[in-house]
Amino acid sequence: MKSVHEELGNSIFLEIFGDSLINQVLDFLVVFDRFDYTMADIAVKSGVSYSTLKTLLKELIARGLIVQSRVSGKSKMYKLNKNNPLVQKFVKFYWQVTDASVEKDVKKKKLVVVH
Amino acid sequence: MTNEEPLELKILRQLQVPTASLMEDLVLQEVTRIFDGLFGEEEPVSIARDQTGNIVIHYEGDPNRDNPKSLALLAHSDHPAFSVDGRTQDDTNLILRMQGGLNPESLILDAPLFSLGTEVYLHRLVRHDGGIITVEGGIITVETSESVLHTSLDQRDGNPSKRYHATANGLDRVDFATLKLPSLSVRDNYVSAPVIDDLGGIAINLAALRNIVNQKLGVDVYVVVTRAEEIGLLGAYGLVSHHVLPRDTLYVAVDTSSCRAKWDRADTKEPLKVITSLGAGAVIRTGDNSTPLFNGDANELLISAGRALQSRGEAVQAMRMYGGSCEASILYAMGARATALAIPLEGWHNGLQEGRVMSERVALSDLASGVNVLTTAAQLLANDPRRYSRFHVDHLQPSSLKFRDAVAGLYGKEPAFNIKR
Repeated sequence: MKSVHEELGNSIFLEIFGDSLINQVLDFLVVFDRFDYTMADIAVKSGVSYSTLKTLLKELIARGLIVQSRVSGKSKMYKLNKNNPLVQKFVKFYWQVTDASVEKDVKKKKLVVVH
Repeated sequence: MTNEEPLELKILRQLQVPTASLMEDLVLQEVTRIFDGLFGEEEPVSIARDQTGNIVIHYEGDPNRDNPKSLALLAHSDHPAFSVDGRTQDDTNLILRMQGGLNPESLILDAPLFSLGTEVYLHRLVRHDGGIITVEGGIITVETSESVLHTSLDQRDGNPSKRYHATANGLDRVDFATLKLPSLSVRDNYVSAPVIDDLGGIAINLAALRNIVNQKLGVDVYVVVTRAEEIGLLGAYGLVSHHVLPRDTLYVAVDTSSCRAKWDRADTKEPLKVITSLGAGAVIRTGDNSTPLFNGDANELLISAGRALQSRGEAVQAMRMYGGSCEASILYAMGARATALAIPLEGWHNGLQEGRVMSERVALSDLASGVNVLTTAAQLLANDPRRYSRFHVDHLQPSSLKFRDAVAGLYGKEPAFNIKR
């Protein structure tokens, strides 16, 4: 399975702020925030080795940026902690950075589902 | 630097042939020609017709041949046009009547869109021994009109429908007639043509399939060119009711949709509202006029693709486009995992909402955006199918009440054809 970056190229965020390991993990979790993931999933999809992710995740969980959402079988599932105000501000900032790079004549809207 | 046209525009250009509901032969013929030019014999792509006459192109990409994950991209090959109701008693004039989304025009505007003096092309399809279809005909002018009460739908508001009279131009048989409009042209980021709904959808699907095959993605993809959408979603109904595709297929109906919309097209008092604009990206159509929200898996797949593209600086939108209804409604009502992708359109159905005959217009960047959304969706499905398999389909069969409601929502009357209960 390929990482998202391998398949689609780097995001605007990674291009501007660099593809450090932590940025790669956060980038993946912000864009694909509609699901939760196992540690193995996050490692593959964000292009970070499993052992490195284990260390990173420990730190991110301790800071309240990522939470365990549930247990599926024997696997723990994780996702971005959107209740954390810091995460909320980061997500807002992430999409603002992205929006700013789009051509000015395009009326860009964040992809929010409107019913 | 190259000025070569994007593939979707090339295909749209090639598809500019006359079409009408149940008279899509020329478009379907062009699709087979385009298929021959796009895909080599060594590639795992095949083309066939189903029982309804839809074209089904199949890319066998998933190495798991026992239970491949499948994505189907639908677009329809017809467009509103004049059907020929017959001839006047003295046999001098043809009787033309609009069919498809323009019918009945009197429900939309105070005055009919088509007036005396409107020029139309007459078409007679000629089938040759070699299987090639050509068209003969000529330009005629609508000369007179008569008010008639055809159906209960026409009577709903007490408004009569119109039938138009025109000379037969020496033809002993006329199959259909289309509006006389300037041929396809490109200016800056915009393409105008007599028919973009839904030849643009076919072009997007074929261009996306070319990308998917190039990338050898591990997913089965079907591109389905359906028939007779404008008169009742008949091609999509046939596709799903005959179980042509695997049960768990994720369907995406790719269609153009008007930038301006109102909830009830028959309500002449409800104002049109601008809901999107050209050039702001393809729209992930999470619902339409008949269906508030399409299938969760299919919507998640497109939204994930859209967000991935957005994070890479591409414009993509997502909303319920309620200006009309699309094939996803009938697919979903029948139990399929379906959603839709829309390309914002101006001049919908040749100016129906504007009250004057005009070409349809879309942004080239929106067509490209549509291709990218579909290609990315195929990538995501190939690599992470579990995410998009939460709502399994236990059975696919006509759900009579849902189906009746969906069709009633479209037309405000009983369905045009019956289903077995």
